Amino acid sequence: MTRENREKQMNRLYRDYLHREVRNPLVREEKRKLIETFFTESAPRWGWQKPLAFAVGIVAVFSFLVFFAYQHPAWVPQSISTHQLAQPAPVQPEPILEIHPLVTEVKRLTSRVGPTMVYQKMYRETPITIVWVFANGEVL
Amino acid sequence: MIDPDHAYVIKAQAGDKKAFGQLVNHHYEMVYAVAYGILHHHERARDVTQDVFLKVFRDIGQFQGKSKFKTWLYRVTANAALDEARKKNPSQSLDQDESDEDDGPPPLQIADRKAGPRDQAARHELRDLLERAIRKLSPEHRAVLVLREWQELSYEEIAEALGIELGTVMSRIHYARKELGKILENYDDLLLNI
Repeated sequence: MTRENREKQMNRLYRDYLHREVRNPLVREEKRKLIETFFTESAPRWGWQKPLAFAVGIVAVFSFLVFFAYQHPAWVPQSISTHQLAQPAPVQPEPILEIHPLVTEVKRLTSRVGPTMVYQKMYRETPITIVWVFANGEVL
Repeated sequence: MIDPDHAYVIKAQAGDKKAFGQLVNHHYEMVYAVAYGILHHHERARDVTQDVFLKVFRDIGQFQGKSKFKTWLYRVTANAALDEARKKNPSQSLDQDESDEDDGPPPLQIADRKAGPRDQAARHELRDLLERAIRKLSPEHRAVLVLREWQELSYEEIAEALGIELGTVMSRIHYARKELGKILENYDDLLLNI
């Protein structure tokens, strides 16, 4: 077979091969799906049903609210009672606690090292230490 | 130049989806063939085909009618398929059961020349060889091959569609045909009888 004939045969085989691949039923199915999904303007599925469903929903919600309101006692206004409210006994204020003077005990603890003075004193049963430092103090 | 798609294109440009649906109906197989011819993978070819039509519908306002709608569609399809091929390069198509290894074509045992099942087996074998040879080509070579052999575009149209030089088109087609022809050199007898 000449090269030219072989080439022609080869081209024919190639076209036949592609033809078979393209004629695959799945390809037709994909085409149909593509057109139906993106390129058709069909009539809206919900014509009169949508407004009707909306109205029914509104009525249902309203009915539920009314039903629920009458079920809950607190929501229902009741007549005011005519009984006099009992008055509580007046509260006597407690006397103010007496203030006791602070008991202070001073203990002088002097330092013989430098110009400082240290002592302790009681403050509400708590001993506290006081330290005085005199910058120009002299040792006595 | 009368474009048979002209009326639908005008309507589609005005937003008529059904008109564009007619264009899809007319050209789907062609687009798919180009995509498959380049990608050699059914699933990816389907994805690219869908992407092409969605893109074309979105950009149809830009189509000025200087060329045929079909020609514009070729261009978009070929470029989309080539972009997809460059994204990933699977070593094996999911649709194929054979490996990509090539130890050379197996010897064809022809015991006699009875028609029927033997010829069917031979054709099947030849198809396998052809698929193997196609897979060995690069996407760029497959692109020129499918546009020339399947769509029967001229070299100039192919050059315009792919945005390449005319000389490049011719050299790629020559190479693709030569490579496919190599596989079949040993099967002259088979070719004569098919």
